[in-house]
Order: sequence, then C-alpha cells, then structure tokens
Amino acid sequence: MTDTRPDPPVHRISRVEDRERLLAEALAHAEAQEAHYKVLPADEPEHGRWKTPLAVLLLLVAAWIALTPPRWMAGADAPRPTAGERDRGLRAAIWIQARQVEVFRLREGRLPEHLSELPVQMPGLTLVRSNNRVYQIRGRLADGEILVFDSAQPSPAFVASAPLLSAEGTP
Amino acid sequence: MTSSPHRRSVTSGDVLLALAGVALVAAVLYPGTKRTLLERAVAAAQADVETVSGVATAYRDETGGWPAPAETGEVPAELAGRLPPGFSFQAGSYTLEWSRWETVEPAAQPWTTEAPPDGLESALPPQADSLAETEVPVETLGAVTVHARDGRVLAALLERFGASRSFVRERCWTLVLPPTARNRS
Repeated sequence: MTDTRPDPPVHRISRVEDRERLLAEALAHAEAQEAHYKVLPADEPEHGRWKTPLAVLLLLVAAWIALTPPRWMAGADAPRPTAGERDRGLRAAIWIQARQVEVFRLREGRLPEHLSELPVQMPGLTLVRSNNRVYQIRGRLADGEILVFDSAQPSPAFVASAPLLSAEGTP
Repeated sequence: MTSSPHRRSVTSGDVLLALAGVALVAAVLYPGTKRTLLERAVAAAQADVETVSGVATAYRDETGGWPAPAETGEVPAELAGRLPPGFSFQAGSYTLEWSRWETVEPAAQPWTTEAPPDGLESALPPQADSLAETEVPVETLGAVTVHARDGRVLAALLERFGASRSFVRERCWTLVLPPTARNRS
C-alpha cells in the first residue's frame, strides 16, 4: 500500500539542486521586473532629461531671491532707528529718570539707593550715588560707550531733551 | 488600444520640477508679503497709539490727572471703559504700555554743585530735608510705549510722531504726553 499524499513542500525543495533552481528563478524574475520599470520608453530620454536640471536651476533662483531679494522686487527696505536716534533716546530716558530721582528726593528726603525704588524704572540705566547729594545715572550708548549724567554738572546734551517734558515740545 | 504605464507615471523629475516651481513662486511673493505685513503693523500701531493717547488725554481733561500706570500689555483700569470694545494692548507684532511719570522742574530744585569731602558724606544731612517740607511743583507726564522686536516699526512711529514728542530706546518707542495740570507735592 502506497502513500498517495503529496510530500510536504519542505520535502520537495529539500534538495540542494531544487533550492538553487528556485533561488535562480526568483532572482531572474526580480531582475526582469526591475528592468521592466527602469527602462524608459524610447521618447522619454528626450522629454524627461531636462526636468531635473531645470528644477535645480529654479531651486537655486528661488534660494537666491529668498536670501537676497533684489531691490526691484522687495522695494526699498524700511529704515530702522539710527544710532543717533537711539543715543538721543538714551539721553531722554536718563533725563526723565533724573527728574524722577529729584521727585523721590523731595518726597523722601534722601536719594534712592537704586533706581528700582522709583515708581518707574527705565531699563538699562544704573544709579551711582557719589554722596548724599550727588548722583550719577549711567547708560550705554549705541557704540558701547558709557553715557554719564552727573547731577552736579548735567551736560547740556541732556537739557536738549527738555522739550519732551514740556507743553512747548508738542506741536 | 493599450497605453504604456510609463507614459502615465510621474517621474522624480516631474516632482522636483513642481517643487521648484512652488519654491520660486513663494520666494517671489515673500518680500512683498513681508512688506505688506510690516505696513499693516505700523498703521495699526499708529492707530492704537493715537487711540490710547486721545482717550488718556480726555481722561486727564475730565479728572485733572493721568490714569494710573499699568503693566506692559495690560489696559489701564481707568481707560477700560473708554477704549473701543475689544481694544487690546497686546497686538501680534507689538505690545502697548501706559506709564505715568512724576517729574520736577529743574529750576525748582537746582543741582547741587558742591560735593562734600571724602569721609564726610554720612555726616552731612541730606540736602532735601528742608526741601521736603516746602512746596515744589511736581508735574505728571503720561506716556504711551510701544514694545516691538522689529526696529522698523519703532522708526516709523518716531517719524510719525516726531522726535520732539517721542524717543526710541532699545526695543521700545515712547510717546510723551505733556503736562498741563500741575500738582503740588
């Protein structure tokens, strides 16, 4: 009595020759498939090869425009505050702060230890007391130099900020 | 009739070309868009400053004093009911701040010109002891400050309102509202 049941697959390919044959067939099939999709039609090289260089060129032009847009495209750049305007602003802030120190002195009978004792403290300014009467307020100019307001000898440059604080300074 | 799958497929060159076209259009439109946004921010900041200064001045004319100062980005309590509905001190590209400064006339308190010798500072009485008991005119100023990272907004505000009324410092621009009523300390 013979067994009519088919051999399990493992038995059918168990031989070395069978496995090598199947592997060769699989590889050949894969190569054929890859070649089928890889090869361009006859007219594709003429119509498609220019796309990639053109895309690269467009990307370069886009990057150039984004990084350094030409004036005719971006228009004139709006101005930013100049160093002179910022320095003038520093003088005005020091002048206003000095007058607030005077108000504090009149009310408290002493100079403040720090500008933080004042109701409003301008950022970037420091108070240095020379003695019970004389003080300095310091700030940094745009070029890095220290601008000093000395209450004993206020510079006329600070007085130039006075129109800001008076009704005459308004148009 | 059958068509070849190659003719209908999208190649990497097609994708790259489409991306490059989009990038080029975006790069061309970007400067104009940025300029338009800046112009809008400047116009909005100018309008907001004029609104706040106008309302604060009206408040001062009615009550005789400026509204109390508020933190940056916060609407002063006295102005809350006077500003347009929905008015905010926090905009997208800038923030508003209301301040009130007390100052004294320099002529009312002349600067000290003589410093004491070293070592005698603590022995000297503060100069203002006697002045604290006298009446000295103290003026109160109002101020609207715009905080903005973009210096072009600050420069535009300085140009619009003038250097005689405003000044620029670091990342903020301040409009000083003049005193009209004088208080006594």
